[in-house]
Amino acid sequence: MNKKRILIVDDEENIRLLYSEELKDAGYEVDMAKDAKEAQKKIDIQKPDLITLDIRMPGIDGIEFLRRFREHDKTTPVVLCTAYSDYKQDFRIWASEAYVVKSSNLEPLKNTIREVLEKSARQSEPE
Amino acid sequence: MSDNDHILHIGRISGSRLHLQTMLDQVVESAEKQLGADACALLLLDESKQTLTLKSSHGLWRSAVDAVRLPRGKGVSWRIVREKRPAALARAKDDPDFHFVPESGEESYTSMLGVPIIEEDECIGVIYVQSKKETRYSDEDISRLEKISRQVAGAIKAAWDMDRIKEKARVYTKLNGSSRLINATNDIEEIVRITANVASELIGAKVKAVWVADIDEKLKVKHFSESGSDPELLRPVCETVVTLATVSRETVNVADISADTRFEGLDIIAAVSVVCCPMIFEEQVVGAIVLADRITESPNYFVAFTSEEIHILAAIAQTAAQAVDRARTHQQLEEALEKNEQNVRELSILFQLSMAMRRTLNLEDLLRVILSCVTVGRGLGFNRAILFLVDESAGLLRGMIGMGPDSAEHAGRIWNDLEEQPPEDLVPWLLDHDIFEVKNSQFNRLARSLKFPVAGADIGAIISKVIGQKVAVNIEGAGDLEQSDMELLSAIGCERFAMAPLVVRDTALGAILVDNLYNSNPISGADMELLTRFAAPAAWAIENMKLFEKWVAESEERLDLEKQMVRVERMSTLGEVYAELAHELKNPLVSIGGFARRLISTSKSDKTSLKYASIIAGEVDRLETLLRNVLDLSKDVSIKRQENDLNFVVRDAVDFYSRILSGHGIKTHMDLDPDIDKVLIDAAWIKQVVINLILNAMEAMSCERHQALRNLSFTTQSRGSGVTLRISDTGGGIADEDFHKIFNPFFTTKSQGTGLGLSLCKKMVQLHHGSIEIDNKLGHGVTFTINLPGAPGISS
Repeated sequence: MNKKRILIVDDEENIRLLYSEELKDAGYEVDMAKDAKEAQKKIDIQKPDLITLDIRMPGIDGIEFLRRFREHDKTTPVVLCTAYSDYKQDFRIWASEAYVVKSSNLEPLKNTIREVLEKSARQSEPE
Repeated sequence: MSDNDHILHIGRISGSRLHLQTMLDQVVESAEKQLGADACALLLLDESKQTLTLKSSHGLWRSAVDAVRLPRGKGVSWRIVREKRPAALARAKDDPDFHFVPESGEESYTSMLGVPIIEEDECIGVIYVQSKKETRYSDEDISRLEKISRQVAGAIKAAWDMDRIKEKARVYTKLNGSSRLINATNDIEEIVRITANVASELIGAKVKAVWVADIDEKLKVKHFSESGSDPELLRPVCETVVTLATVSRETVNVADISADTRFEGLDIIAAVSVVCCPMIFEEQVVGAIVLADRITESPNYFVAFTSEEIHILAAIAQTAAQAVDRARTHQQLEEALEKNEQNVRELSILFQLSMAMRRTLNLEDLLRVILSCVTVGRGLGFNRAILFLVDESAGLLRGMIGMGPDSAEHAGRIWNDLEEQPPEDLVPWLLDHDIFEVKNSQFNRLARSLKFPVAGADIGAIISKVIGQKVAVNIEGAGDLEQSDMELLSAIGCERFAMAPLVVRDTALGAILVDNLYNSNPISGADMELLTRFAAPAAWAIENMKLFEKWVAESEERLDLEKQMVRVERMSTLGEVYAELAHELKNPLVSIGGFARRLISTSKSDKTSLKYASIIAGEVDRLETLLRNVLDLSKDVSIKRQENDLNFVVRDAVDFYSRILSGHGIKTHMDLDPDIDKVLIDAAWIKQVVINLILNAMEAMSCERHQALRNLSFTTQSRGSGVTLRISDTGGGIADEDFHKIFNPFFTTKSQGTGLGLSLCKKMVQLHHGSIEIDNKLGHGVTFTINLPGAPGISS
């Protein structure tokens, strides 16, 4: 079974590093982008199995990026990451598969990623 | 000239409008000629019918006219009058009744013929002729003189009638004039004076007196004048006749009191005439006029008042009665106006009180103004006053202010000062002038020390009546007091006082006590009425002022809160910056914490390094929670309750701070119930609550004052259906004025901090359906007690 490929989109270098180390340890292939523009480039080159997307980013923010991404990709799961729960009421995030509040404890994130990927795999099985 | 000519002549004379005297002179001359006599004389009875006066003569001395007066007696003239028959005396001196009147010069005459002058069957005088040589008068002579006499009688009558008409005209002119004078005044004294004057001008009398009824309807002498050596001689006579007239309500006319039994015992020897007309208006006797001792032309004889005079007097009495009644009505009107003015004054006091209430901004000033109104002369005018208010929580009636002089001498000085500068606008003046120097007054100090129970067995009878039954009392002496009132009595030191309740919405909120210690004026019904009437708006003013003060206090608090809110607003602008900052903080924290965790999970390093890494991870955790709390406070916080051990949560929080606490010299004492029930709580939130309380306690105990004693103790125990955590510090407690605000969001006494701590604690505990209580011991410390409910199914 191929390793699942995860694209981490976050403007914070240390966060990207932390996430990539953790996720690599958890058995994923990891790619990283520092903003929406770079993320789109990476996606164009190689489509990931899952995207972790920071909401607050300079330039195009996560939510706007998600809206544009969903216009031509309805299936690739996206996990939104944010510092606080402020965005829970924002209906635009419904376009994402999951929503995770950033924490130094990465267990919730890893659990969410696993769940989302399992779900996604189940949905694509009949094809 | 023939007889007829003469008679016609006399008829012409008497029919003419000549003066009576001229007419008499002409008649006398004519008669002498007609009868061929040497002299002729005419005498008329005066009004007393006791004297015959020579009115005209021809042949006698001129000086005799009006000088010769023949008192009723035996003389020939009087015989003629008595018998109404002529007397013809050829030799006059042979008649036993005849005697010369020396001043007339009649001794030269020998014979005389006299006839009575008769008018309406009454003899009014005598006319006679005299001759020097002896003459026997024929029947013809007699009949001729009688004819002349009849003519002259008619003429005299006509002249008298004319005189009487003239007199009447004079009297009525006079009466009319006096009536106008009397009606021009409303002064009873003036009416009396004019009445007495007009009466004495129209009717000659030595005594003139006027009685007038006072309000009590008793007649009192208002005017009394008596000419003579003893100016009070006839006073008893007048008094008697006034009684007779006012009882009978009719004029009493007594010709001679010495002959009247009703005047017996008055010790009056002389014959005195007296008349009294009651002054009656609309069947009410309003007074009486008395005239006594009528002045007569013949001083030797007294004469009763004539019916004519009585009529005049009655007319005067009638006019005077009307005038007195009108004056009295006027007086009553004026009294009513005065009363009205009194009412207006009361209204003005009340109005000014309400104005004062608007002007005064505190209860103390208001109470002072109220008592000033009660004590100053232009107000209610009591000597001293005390205002009491009910202290409901203590069940006491407390003296709030006392106003009044400390001594009689002090009283005099104050009232003198007031006389010198009477205030135009009373209340504003009172506001600016502390006339009784209340602040330094002993009486005020006394008043403020008074307190009496308003309920229970010790209540005084008076206070029970005033406060309990809300009735005003007027104590007129020690006899009105009961044993239970002795404390009140001995406090104020005056046996006569009054007390009126201050009632609002059927509740007595206090009372006003007044007395007149210094001038000893009795407290009248009217005073009481005024006091009670005054007490009503005063009570409302006090009630309103209390509400106002409460409102002000609340407003101040609100104002305080507003200041806090301004700060919060400023903070929320800052808050956006903080939120931004928090975001920026969050990412590094995630990195720090994340890598620390990675160290723990991946590193093979030594135990010490692992421990340090865990501390980093733990602290980052706490920082993350703190950041979240701050940003989540205004939002709906959801808690995730799980079965937890409160002891564990408490220990966890204290462990975090054990080094910091010991660094501040604070000793922690843990008294945790080992068998404590498990509870359903969000451990993170409850830990945050404990941490907040620890931080508060640390802050409180860190000031220098509490250097010596810095203890922080934690106690947990199971409590029925839940658990209790007590955290006690020795930080000196919270100041009273701050105490009730400590749970307000953003309230803080700290120079730094958002003030969110305690309000967040409260919110959290409430989200757990628990409660948080504070026991504040000022000067010692604060104990927070947190009660958390147990969950069904997990309690032991």
